Amino acid sequence: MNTPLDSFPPNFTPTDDDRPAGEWLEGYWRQMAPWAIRLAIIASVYCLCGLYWPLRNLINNLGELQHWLVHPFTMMLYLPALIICYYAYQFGKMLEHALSAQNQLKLEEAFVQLRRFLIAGIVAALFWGLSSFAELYSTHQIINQQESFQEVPLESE
Amino acid sequence: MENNQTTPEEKAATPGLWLSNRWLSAVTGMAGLGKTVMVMALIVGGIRIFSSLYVQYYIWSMCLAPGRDFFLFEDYNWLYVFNTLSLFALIYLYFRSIMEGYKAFSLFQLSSVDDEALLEGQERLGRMFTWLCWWAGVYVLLVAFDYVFHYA
Repeated sequence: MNTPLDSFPPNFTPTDDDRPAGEWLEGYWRQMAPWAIRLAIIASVYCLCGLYWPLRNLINNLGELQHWLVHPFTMMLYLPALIICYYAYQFGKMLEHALSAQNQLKLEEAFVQLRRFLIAGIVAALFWGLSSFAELYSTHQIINQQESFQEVPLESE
Repeated sequence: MENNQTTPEEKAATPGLWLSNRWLSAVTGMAGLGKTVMVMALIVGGIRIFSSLYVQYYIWSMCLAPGRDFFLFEDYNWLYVFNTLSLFALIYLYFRSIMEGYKAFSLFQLSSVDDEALLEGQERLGRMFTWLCWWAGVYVLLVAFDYVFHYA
């Protein structure tokens, strides 16, 4: 019978239906784990920079309402992405540990982290989708303003 | 991967990782979630890319306006060329990774009954991480270059 992957037994005993993963599958996991860790590190550097700038602007302009409206929202965009990075890192680390120690429970736990990575991905995609719409709208507004500004003839003309 | 001749005692004593029922059902179960995330990533990426291409189109329509001469090393034209080329590189890396992810999770749906699908799905999941890593790396480098160029 299948049990939820979140409830880990104290140790793993293979059943009649279980089969060894095999060299090919372990080879794929061995290649996958360092890339997941690298992705987590690179993306978290970007997210931390993304969090730093609005936080710095907010601290420098604590008294102004306009900054309180803009910067916390910008920071909220980077938080789910940072959570994704955390789960990608955990996935890679647990996969590496499972492979090095041949630990079945760590392998199963790694794929729990992958599922959490995907759930955080949905939240991040929703936030980035909203911000992308806002960016597209503001870009359109700026370009329209520039074009109308250029169309106004100078008085000397 | 098939080994039905061994007894449970021999199995328990065998070191290594296993395709347990719990693991397989977890992988099959996350397929739908993974495909949803990949579709959302495609939509969000599409909007952001449309926005970036719109800006590029505006810049190029200014650069190549009738009556204007275009010289690569004047008026920051080289920077516009570099930005456009790097944008296309980013688009390729991003969509390549998302397509690999989508195919991986599609294959995971069949993985409880098809070993080949499970193997190929895991291989494609690895490629998704590889391409995403390249995309993130190039993106961070371009942001750093942009920052250094404008503020340093």
